[in-house]
Amino acid sequence: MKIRMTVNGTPREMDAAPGDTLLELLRREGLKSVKKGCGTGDCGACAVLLNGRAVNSCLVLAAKADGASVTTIEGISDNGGLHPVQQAFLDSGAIQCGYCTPSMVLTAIDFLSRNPDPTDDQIRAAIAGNLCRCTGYDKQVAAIRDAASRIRGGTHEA
Amino acid sequence: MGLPHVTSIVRPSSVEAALNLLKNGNGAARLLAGGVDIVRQPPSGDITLVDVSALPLRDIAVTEDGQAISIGATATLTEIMESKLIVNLYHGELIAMLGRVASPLLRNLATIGGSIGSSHPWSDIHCLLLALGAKVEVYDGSYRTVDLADIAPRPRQDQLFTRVLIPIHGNGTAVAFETFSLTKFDVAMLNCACSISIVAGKVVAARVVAGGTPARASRIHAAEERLLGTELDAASIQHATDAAVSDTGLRDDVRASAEYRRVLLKTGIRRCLLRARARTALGSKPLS
Ligand SMILES: Cc1cc2nc3c(=O)[nH]c(=O)nc-3n(C[C@H](O)[C@H](O)[C@H](O)COP(=O)(O)OP(=O)(O)OC[C@H]3O[C@@H](n4cnc5c(N)ncnc54)[C@H](O)[C@@H]3O)c2cc1C
Ligand code: FES
Ligand code: FES
Repeated sequence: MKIRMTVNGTPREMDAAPGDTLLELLRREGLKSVKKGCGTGDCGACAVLLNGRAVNSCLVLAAKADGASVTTIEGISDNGGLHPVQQAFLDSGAIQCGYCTPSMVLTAIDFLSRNPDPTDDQIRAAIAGNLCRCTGYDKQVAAIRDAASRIRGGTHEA
Repeated sequence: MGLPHVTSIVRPSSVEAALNLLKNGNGAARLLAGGVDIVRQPPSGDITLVDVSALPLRDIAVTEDGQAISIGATATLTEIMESKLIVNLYHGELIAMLGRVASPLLRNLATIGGSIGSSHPWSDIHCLLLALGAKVEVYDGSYRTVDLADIAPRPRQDQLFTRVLIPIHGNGTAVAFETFSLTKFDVAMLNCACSISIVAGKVVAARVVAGGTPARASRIHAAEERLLGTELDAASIQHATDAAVSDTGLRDDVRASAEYRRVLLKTGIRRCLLRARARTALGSKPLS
């Protein structure tokens, strides 16, 4: 079947089987930032923005996303530069192996767009569905806190 | 390959069309809402999925008679949490409970209708909604309203849920919910909820519910009886928690032993009753 989606701002038409997940479709289309960890909604590594909301793409059937707008980490650059959340992750040393990083950044973008001035507890709750086996989370929490103040202070729309 | 047994996905544009597709599927059609459960644990054998998530069933509003909050079956858990109508409902207990369900990523997908459709034994949603006396609007060719407690925990080919109705009680009624899990993201080893209505300083209505026992959530009538007519004092709370423990068939499973569940249930019901009490006019009186 044909699936039409706007992927990272570009309208695309793709072939998919009815049982294909969005995760499989996006990876097949070359968007390898979308990671598979568990395939069961537990790790969050597959997170993408679906119509602006961070979701586990392993639990979304591609056909269900027909007509939707999907954003992956490849699509969030800020006029060719890094998005403030990416920059904050870099500056805070919040990245080790990097496997969870695209999903963490996308989850943080969704979260900060609705909660621009969060507490650390709220940040921890926001990334509760994104597992990281490397960092111990502290630096990621610090990065999201830092990103929030960059976005509040600047002109950037999260 | 994701779900090799899914032979097709259809997206009806009306509730009537969705029901027809479900009925005409010869038992091989299933409703797909958020998909969190269906995709994670697909039914065996070839299936057609009837995607109801785009149906106009997302509204959250006060009913015309002002007696209930109506939540459309395809509203996501996040949409419910962000609704201004829900924020202060029952002292924010509904929002607090939803904040404990799964993760933000999953709550952006999961719907209230799908949560009732799955009705996991450990479902936090089912537990609190039972204590709230929620009703479910069902479409099976005509619309009717059914008590949540009467919804069977298995998929049906002859009906779909269209709304969940949460009664709005006055100030004399308060609810509280407790859930116990190994981590915040893990599902409950046990959950419980209480709803208490006070008139002239006495309990006139009570609902005491426990789930993940490990059976599906249900009311504990013996505990409720111990509360009726009392001033919700220390002795009646003790009697109710004792009755809850002796009247609930607590069992072992992979998540917890029956013995541990006994402790959790006792602690949970006591906490719920104390919190509910504090939210009513009785809260200003010391616990005697
Ligand atoms: C990792 C993980 C952690 C979780 N943690 C928790 C937790 O802590 N607490 C908790 O309570 N729950 C938890 N859940 C369960 C989750 O809340 C439910 O799985 C979810 O709400 C299902 O909603 P859905 O819209 O995705 O349902 P779907 O998967 O789309 O459907 C579920 C079932 O309901 C049926 N259905 C869907 N819509 C309707 C309708 N309108 N009418 C009739 N039937 C319908 C479907 O046919 C199917 O049988 C967890 C799930 C996962 C994957
Ligand atoms: S791969 Fe999707 S949540 Fe783990
Ligand atoms: S940085 Fe390695 S999993 Fe998070």
